[in-house]
Amino acid sequence: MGLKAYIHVSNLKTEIEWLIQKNNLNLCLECGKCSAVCPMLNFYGAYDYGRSPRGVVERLTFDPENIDDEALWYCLTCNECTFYCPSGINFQDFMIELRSLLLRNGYKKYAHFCSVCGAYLMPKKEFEYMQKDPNGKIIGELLSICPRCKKNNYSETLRRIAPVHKTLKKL
Amino acid sequence: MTRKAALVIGGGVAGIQASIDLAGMGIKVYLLEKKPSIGGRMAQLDKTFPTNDCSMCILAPKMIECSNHENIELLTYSELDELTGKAGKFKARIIKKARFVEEDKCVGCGECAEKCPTKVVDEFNAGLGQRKAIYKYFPQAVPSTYVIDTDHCRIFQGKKCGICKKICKANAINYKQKDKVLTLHIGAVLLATGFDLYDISPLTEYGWGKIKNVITAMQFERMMCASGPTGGHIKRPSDDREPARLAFIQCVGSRDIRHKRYCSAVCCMHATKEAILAHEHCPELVSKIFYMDMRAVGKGFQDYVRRAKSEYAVKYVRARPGRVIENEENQNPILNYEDTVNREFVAEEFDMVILSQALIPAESNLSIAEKIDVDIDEFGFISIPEALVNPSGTVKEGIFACGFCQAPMDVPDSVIRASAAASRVAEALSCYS
Amino acid sequence: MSIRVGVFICHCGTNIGGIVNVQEAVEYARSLPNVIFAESNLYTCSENGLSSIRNKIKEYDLNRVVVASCTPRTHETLFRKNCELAGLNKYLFEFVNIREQCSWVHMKRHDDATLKAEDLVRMGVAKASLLTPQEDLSTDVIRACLVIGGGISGLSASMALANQGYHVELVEKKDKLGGLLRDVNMVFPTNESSENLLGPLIESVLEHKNIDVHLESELIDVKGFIGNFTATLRTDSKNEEIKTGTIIVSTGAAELKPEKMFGYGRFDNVMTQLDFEKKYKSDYHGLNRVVMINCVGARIEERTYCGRFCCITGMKNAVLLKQANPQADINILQRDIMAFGMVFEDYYRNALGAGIRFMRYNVDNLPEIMGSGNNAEKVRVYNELIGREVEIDVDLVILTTPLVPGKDNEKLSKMMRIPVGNDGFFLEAHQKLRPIEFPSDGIFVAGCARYPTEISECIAQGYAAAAKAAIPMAQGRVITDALISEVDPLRCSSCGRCINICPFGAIDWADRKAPSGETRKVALVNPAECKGCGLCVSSCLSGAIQLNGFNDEEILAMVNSVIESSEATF
Repeated sequence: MGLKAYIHVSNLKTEIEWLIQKNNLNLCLECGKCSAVCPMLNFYGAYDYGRSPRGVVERLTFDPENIDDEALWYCLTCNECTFYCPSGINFQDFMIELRSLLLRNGYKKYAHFCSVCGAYLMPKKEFEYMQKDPNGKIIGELLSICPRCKKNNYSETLRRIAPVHKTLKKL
Repeated sequence: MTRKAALVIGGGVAGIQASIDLAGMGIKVYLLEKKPSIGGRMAQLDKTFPTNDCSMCILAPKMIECSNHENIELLTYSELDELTGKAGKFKARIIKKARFVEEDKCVGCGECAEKCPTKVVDEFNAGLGQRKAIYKYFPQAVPSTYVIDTDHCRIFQGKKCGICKKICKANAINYKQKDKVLTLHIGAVLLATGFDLYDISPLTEYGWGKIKNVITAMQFERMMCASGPTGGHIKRPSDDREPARLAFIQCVGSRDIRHKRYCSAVCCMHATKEAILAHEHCPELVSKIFYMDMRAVGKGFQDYVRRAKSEYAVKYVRARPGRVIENEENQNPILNYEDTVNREFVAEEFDMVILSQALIPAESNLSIAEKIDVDIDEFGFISIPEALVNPSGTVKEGIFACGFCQAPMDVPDSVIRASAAASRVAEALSCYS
Repeated sequence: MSIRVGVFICHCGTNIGGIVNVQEAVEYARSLPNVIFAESNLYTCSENGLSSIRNKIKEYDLNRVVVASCTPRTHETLFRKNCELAGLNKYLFEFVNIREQCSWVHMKRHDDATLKAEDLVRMGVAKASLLTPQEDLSTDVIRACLVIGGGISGLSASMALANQGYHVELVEKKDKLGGLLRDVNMVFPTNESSENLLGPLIESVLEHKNIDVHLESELIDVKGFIGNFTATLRTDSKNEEIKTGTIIVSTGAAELKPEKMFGYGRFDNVMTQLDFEKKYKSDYHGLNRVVMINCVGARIEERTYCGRFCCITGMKNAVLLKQANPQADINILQRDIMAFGMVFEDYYRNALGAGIRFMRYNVDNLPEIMGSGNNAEKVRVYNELIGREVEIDVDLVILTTPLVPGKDNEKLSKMMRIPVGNDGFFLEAHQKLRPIEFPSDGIFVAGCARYPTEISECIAQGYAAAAKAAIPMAQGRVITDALISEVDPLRCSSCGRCINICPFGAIDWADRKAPSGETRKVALVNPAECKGCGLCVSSCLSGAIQLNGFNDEEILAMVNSVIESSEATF
């Protein structure tokens, strides 16, 4: 019986190549529709090719080594580009999966983490953008803790301030 | 006994050319066309690339040849009901729909249409302008007989009218006319059903249907045509002003996995043509064509594009625009695009935007394919199983196809394929007997 | 018999009516001598217009018809036939062009355009009054076709005609049939060998009882006209004459060898697509780093046309390479990918999916090939869309070049008087509606002789040319126009000018017996070959030649009618 055991030699480059293939980045015709619908102009005030979906796709298909790059952490994964891409490229999934991969491999400096448990929340750039809101300080506090930690925090607070009703029946 | 006769389904330029060739070879041809006149899409064009010949002028002699040729019988406003038999011995049942106007009496004077009280959106003019409930499909229609649109005519809606009948000096109007059923005995069938225009309303990012000054290429074509709804004047739909800056967006619905994956083959050229013609109409007009690949592959096409750049103020920008939004003050469309060669994001205002809509195989292909038992592919094109060695043959013996109904192609290629199919039909007919 | 002229002035929608005051012109026409009837039509070429003319001919007993509308190039045959249907000799019809020659060139000067239109109509009426009835000629057609060139187009055309019962003489310059396709390894999109495609076809052609194949034969001369061509072939230093009714030119083309471009000729591992297919066949061992450069020698100043299917050829080879070596690094440097239509676009998508990279470069910034000795090692290209220069190591560089016109095109052009375009390929009669016919009747073109064409299109063109050739052969005879020139032998001074100047070779010497008994040579026009161009008429110093329908009297009448008119202003 030959059940072959695959010794999976994984390195970052092959993993990225796999993500590229899985999400159809190869099919990019470089038409620029994704960059044209990307809201980054509204969010970041300026258009930078390097941060645009097309720019990221091109850079990674031609130069997959260069991944310690802040430009990979601007995307808001809003899905506009994926929705309109005529070649069927799933850029949203790609970005999410790529960042996951980068974080696992130690590329953390452009990411924003939960101040309690250290889980990944969002790109630093997205966090900075959100803080531009007039209620920035409040939003900053809200966005510095991951949802689970927030929930735990709340339960903790509740336990401290709310008395336990002895009359609560056990269901 | 094999009848040395063939049925050509579709009276566009491919069907017309095939009919003339077959008739010239001594074969009897029944040219079937569901619209009230032959001519097809080419009759809707103003001018044709790359010669800039007036489309109707080069097509009309062929249309007239079809109607006068002793071997060709025109069956317009008719549809195929049933096809039985096999190669060499087909029997076709045709329904010749009632025009409610006697063909041998009508002289095409047009007085009935002038006085008809009912206005209908004109499909020949791509939705721009209106026609009457009694109408001639277009001015140079062959045959030139008028026809009553029973969906809108007051008499057929149970209301009072009868004006056309009173007016007609030739006494040609007959509200009681019935559909006619004809049985044809033919040896072979040739499909030449051509194309329809893809409905681009789902592409909401371009605003067609919402932003007034965004129109389709076919609408623009009708606008520029001297016999069209604006008498050949280019006018912005919102305020009737002449535009000074035009934008053409290519591949709207084509080369798009969400709509039609294939390339419609002719849009790069027809956009160039329209930009050239627009500049001829208004010398101050400048155009920008937004493309991905400039597919000018035919004879003389590259030179045509070069002339557009150097002589007709046409700029080519390699970009697929993301959105078209409207400037509320003046209703100018604004294009958001990334110029891929300069890597710049641009929001540019234009006076009018023309969308080169995807072209799809005739929607009637589905029902025809069922009736005659041929295959169609996922897009609706007639399947040509051995496209390499047998470019006209369908899956069924005795049934052939030519022109756009088999694959996207322009007029010269359609004419070539039509003659090629005629040769195959002639060969087949001589083999069957 | 009195001359009764009917004048029909067309509005042509707004093409004429928007500039010329047609009603005024009609009123004016009524005042002209010999004009019995005049009216206007919206579209004279439509069914209504034509039937109106027929009715008025009968009603008013007209014996001359003048139509003032667009160009005779599109509608002259139509209007002539229309007169015939009404029982009038079709050469008693005169066409006046008030669109291309008036309304279209004077779009902003409505009043002047109207006056000019009236002048033109007056000239037309003056000429029409002098027209005399003519009869067309009919010649028999030999039921055989000469197919020049035994490539895929010629083979397809031959089979199509032979299967319908016509005799075919297939002439091929090489010692084997198959043409350029023989050099191709695998064909797109089926990926079968070209042998698979050609083998059965060549066998059928060689075996067919209706086809005579002449291998290693060259065409030396062609004489004659539709229905009656005489071709002289040279095989093995022997000449042979064959007579056919029609001719199909399917002489193909050749692949451009881009000397001195991108290291071609200098580096051994820089080659064209066909070179690649011939050298490697299907053994791609060791080819792991390949760069293809598209549009080499095409879409440039010196050669503006596009090769049409070379993008697809490149992709086919790229995919085959990638399938053989899945880890291979294959880059295609391009300037627009011409994957038009349905099959090609899907193939492009597959090529992208297989991992083949496409990089766009600009024609003003060509890629550089660098190497040492006779081995290319690197390709440097400025990738226009990412704005960066890229350097690629290579094992092999393939240059995608277009097809260029065959070397014999000029020679054949002169031999058969068929035109060659600016690009060197044969020029068809009309690019839109007559793509495989020549202006000279009876001669047709198919395949790459006309323009670079992919295989399925070549086969389609072969069949299409066969259909066109079959028409005169099926009918058995052709009718030739009556408006041809005639030599008056009494005036002919035997100078021979007309014989030299005729572009169709329609005039030749003929013996004529003088009353004294001597024979002298005079010029004689072959009515079947004469196209009525009039060059002979203007070349004749003795005034011996006249063109029917355009004789001196008729032309002078037109000129006089303009000069004598009181409206003329100078």
